[in-house]
Amino acid sequence: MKIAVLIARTLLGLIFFVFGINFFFNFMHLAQPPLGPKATAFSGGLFGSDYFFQVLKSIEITSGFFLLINRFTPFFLLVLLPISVNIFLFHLILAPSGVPLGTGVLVLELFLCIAYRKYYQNVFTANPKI
Amino acid sequence: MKRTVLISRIILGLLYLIFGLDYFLHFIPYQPEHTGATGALVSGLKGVGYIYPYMKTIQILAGLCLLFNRYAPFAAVVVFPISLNVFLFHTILVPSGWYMGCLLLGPNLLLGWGYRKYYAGMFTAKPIL
Repeated sequence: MKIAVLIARTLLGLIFFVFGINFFFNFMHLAQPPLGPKATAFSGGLFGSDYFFQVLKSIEITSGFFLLINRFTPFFLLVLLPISVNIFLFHLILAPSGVPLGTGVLVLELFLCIAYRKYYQNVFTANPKI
Repeated sequence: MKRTVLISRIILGLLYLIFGLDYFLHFIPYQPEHTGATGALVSGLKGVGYIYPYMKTIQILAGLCLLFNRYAPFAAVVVFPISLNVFLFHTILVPSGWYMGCLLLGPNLLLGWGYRKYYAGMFTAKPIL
């Protein structure tokens, strides 16, 4: 279990850290696969806002970095959860060529959340006392 | 603190429940018109067909949890990314609606503080498996 978590954490951290930095410096020169009209309008709108991807990628770089150095891992896994769900949905519904990547990210993410579940237990308190 | 949490919970719960239900039932007559980059962003998000129904469903469920005070710490975490993005959207792209972002992010952050003991575990620096 410990080794599986170590591998999953390093992989997920690397994916977010490297792709996050690549957004700002474009050192990987990845060719964008052609997108359908809906996906084009969707990412065009997000890019056009001039803040969305900058915020998102900064969060991904920070979270990926903390996963790699294994500090505050439960917190940064939680931060990456909505991002992973949306990457998965985007590929599943709009850009099927990326489904393997989206599935991989979501599976690693969910596996790690389950592994660290004891750190999330108290969030699920039904009747919290202030 | 009890009163602050109560008020924040009601404001956040009501806003998410009302604006969530309005998406499906269309009972608020005023709908803002967006142009330019903002219009492209909103129509891009709406055009994909799944983002809004899925986001609004989350908003309705979380709004109900907050209003009925059941699993409120969890509901506050679930809507936090939405509150943050509403805040960024309004502050950066539609400054005229800035108060909407503040009305969501403010109570959301206050709930985060009020329920901090329930979130303490997540902030463990060196978790042990």
